Amino acid sequence: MMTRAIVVRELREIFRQRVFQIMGSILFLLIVFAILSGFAYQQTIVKQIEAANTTARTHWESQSDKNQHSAAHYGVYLFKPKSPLSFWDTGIDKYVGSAIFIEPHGRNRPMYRPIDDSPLLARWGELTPAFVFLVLLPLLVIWLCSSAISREKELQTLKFVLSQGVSWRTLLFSKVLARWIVVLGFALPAFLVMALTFQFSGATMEAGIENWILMGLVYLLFLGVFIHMSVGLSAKLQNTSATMILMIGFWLASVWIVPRVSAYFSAEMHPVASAWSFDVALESEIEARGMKRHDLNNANLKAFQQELLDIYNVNDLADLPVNYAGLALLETEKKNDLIIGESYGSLFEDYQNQLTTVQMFGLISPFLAVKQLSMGLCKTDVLNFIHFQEEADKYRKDFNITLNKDLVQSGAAGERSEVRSSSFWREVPEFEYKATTSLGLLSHYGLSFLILGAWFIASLLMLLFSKPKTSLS
Amino acid sequence: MKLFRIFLASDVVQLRRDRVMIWSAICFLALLIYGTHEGSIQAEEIRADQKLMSDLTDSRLESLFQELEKNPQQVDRTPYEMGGKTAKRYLHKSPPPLALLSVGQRDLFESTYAISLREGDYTFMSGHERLDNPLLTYLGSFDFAFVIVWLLPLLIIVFSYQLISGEDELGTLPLLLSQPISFRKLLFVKTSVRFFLISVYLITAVLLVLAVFGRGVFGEPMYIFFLLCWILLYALFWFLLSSFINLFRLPSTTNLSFLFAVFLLFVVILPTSWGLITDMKNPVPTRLDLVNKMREATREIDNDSASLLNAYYFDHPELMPEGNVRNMAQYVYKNALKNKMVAAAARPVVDQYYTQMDLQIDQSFRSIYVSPAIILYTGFDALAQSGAGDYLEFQKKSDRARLTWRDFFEKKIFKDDLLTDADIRALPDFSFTADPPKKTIVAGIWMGLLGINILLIGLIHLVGSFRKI
Repeated sequence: MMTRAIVVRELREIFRQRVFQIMGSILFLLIVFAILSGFAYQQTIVKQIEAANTTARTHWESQSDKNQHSAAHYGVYLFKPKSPLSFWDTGIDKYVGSAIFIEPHGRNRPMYRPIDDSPLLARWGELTPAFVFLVLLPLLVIWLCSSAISREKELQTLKFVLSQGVSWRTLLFSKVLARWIVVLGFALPAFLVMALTFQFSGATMEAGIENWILMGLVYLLFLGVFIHMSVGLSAKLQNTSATMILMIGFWLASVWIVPRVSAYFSAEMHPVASAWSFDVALESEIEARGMKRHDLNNANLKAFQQELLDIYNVNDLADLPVNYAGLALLETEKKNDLIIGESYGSLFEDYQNQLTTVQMFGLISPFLAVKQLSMGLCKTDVLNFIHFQEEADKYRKDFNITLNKDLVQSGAAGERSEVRSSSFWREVPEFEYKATTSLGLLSHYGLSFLILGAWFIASLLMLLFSKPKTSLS
Repeated sequence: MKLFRIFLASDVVQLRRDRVMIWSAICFLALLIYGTHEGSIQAEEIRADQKLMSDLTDSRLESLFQELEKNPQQVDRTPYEMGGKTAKRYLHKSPPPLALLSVGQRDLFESTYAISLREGDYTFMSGHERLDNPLLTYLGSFDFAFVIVWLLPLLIIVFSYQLISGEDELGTLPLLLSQPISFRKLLFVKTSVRFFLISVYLITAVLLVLAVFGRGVFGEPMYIFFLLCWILLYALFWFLLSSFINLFRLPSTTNLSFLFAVFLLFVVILPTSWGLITDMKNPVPTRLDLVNKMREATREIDNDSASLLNAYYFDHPELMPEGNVRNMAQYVYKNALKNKMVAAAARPVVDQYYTQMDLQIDQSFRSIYVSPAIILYTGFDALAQSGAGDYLEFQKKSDRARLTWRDFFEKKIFKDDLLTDADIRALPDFSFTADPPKKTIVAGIWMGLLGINILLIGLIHLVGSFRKI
């Protein structure tokens, strides 16, 4: 009963304050603006991807009659689909290429980053719902909570309230509860809108309802850290300004400083080669261990040719009863793909190590922990980016094998003697991207989840042990 | 002046006792050192990579010329091999001495492009993405610009939010006002003293970090002068804002909330929302759109390059090779023709891209006046030559270099001629020197920072004269 009375009084006081009315309204408008603009942008991109996929496939199917290998060089573009929640947290989506060109003899990297279209102010941050919730809302929380207890101390009312028989625990619990209600007032409607997007987004990438539930959970854990810490400090410190300065310092370090420091630190710990050195190293590996079809001095090529001559018991490649060009292409792709896979595997391992280092920085920044989880659940994180590249590469290998096998079966003649028409191009399977599952993803982000949980528990403990010396209870 | 000295002495004594301020100043200096160090490392890594590429290119070309002297018959003189591999070169945009100030767009765009027949004609479509982990690029750069633009205002806010309210809350304000000094004069002197102290601190800190981490940064003393003035004008803006809110004699907590809200508005909310608005007003054709348009434009050529080749030789009989054409040569002609026609077909898309980017940059430059933080950040980017405009200029020049390179070999390819010694010695060479910061940009930054301070002084004067303290 007492709790209810205090909560009602607190809420009345909060809503009566002009600063809250202004800040709350601005924040509410920003949330609405971020959701609407983000959703509109997502819809545009989803439609463009759909159109691009259709056009790419039409181009492939309606190409002129040509030899299978020429068709492979004509190639096909694959586009990264959007996840339904990508409007909520765009994550690294703008920083990664949106299309991969598939062709023989090598693996292309994703091209055409959306950030290249608008690099000017994009580096200052994007106004997404996640940005409003994880960067701006904590500030309202700090403002709301910094005065929770210290104001009572400044006005000399704390002793009076406690002397009326209200226990310290009840007072603290009620004050925290009132602030939780305000925060939920912002969060719940927005989460409901997020849930609706599953129905209307039209995004093709799979994302289950569990993503939505987990998102809500991790966001509330994060906001809880700020609520508990601010109220806890407010109880411990003598004045509101000191609490605000300390909490703003914590927000600043958590949101702006630590993430940037973590980026440099992880790059130093697990350096990644420049694109140029990576390509040079890969090329020399292929020269040393792989097969170069047009390099007659290549040892692997010579061995392969000799093997064919021995098998078919002939002296000249021209006398082979099978299609040499097709077989050589199959063998070259097989040998070189192993090396390419190793190089990219090691690159992605470095990415994963860098990600783990960034996750570890979550220990000093709850923002980093929640941000990793948020991007992961919205499927706009680096692991989903790697996953898309790997899936596209599997398709590339199958694509080349399909065309090269058909070339082998087309008879013993030379590479360009036979041609295929659109009926054959239509038989080549389309790329169907299977997204990561949420459970699989959580196994990678378990560390961030644990760290965020630890922050929440630590903030609760801080709150529980925040009893000021002046209390009478 | 006497009053200034008195308050200066009293402030110094007060600040020496203020642990929060001392720790804030120490932390800020530490972060400035760290940020400048990281900025210089990033620039050094690019310089080292470029040097390695240049050294390898030089040694490749040296062996080619030695071979020309010793075994001229051993040199592969086919234009496609020479222009695609043997004589391939790079165009570099080297980070200038002041690159350590701001990473800007340097971690997004290429600072080097290969000039070779095996590359596409348009750099921004060549697909040579950087290999950095996109997560780290997304998290942002911790450089000098970040520390000054984002963190300096907060240091100043902590330093000045209770200029008057502090005296008020301690009960010393009536005592001060009982002396022959008006409230406005008191506010002016207190603001001037704090601004003087922070200016000394900032000038020392900035010159120190530049001296320690910069290489040749003092070669352009005018730029250093600009840099210091811009930083001080930015600091002055935040002091004036503090001074403005202190006019109202509100509680310190309210002052702090107001100042922090303004910080959020100028440094976080306005830049992020303005970015969105600029994008909506002048959208560059998205990359997905670009892929489709390019593919559509080049489709016919892909499908019909054999008959196009015949048509080409029909139009240019002087380029028709004599005798039988070998199979491989036929392939090379077709490929060269295809590239040429693809480049021509892509031209409208490319032009549209560049026009829109120019428009967006122009629009964005006009929008810097939205926030003093954007003005200063643009200033840092201009001095560090790391803005989007600088990289767009580099892309355009690289495109021209690639087209010049292709034109040099084109006739030889279509005539099936081999390169002579004279041709090889006359291969075009390219270098890129970034233009100094544009005068319009520099003038815009001065105007923006001076203008916003003058406006604020006017506002303080106006409000001060209307309010009876």
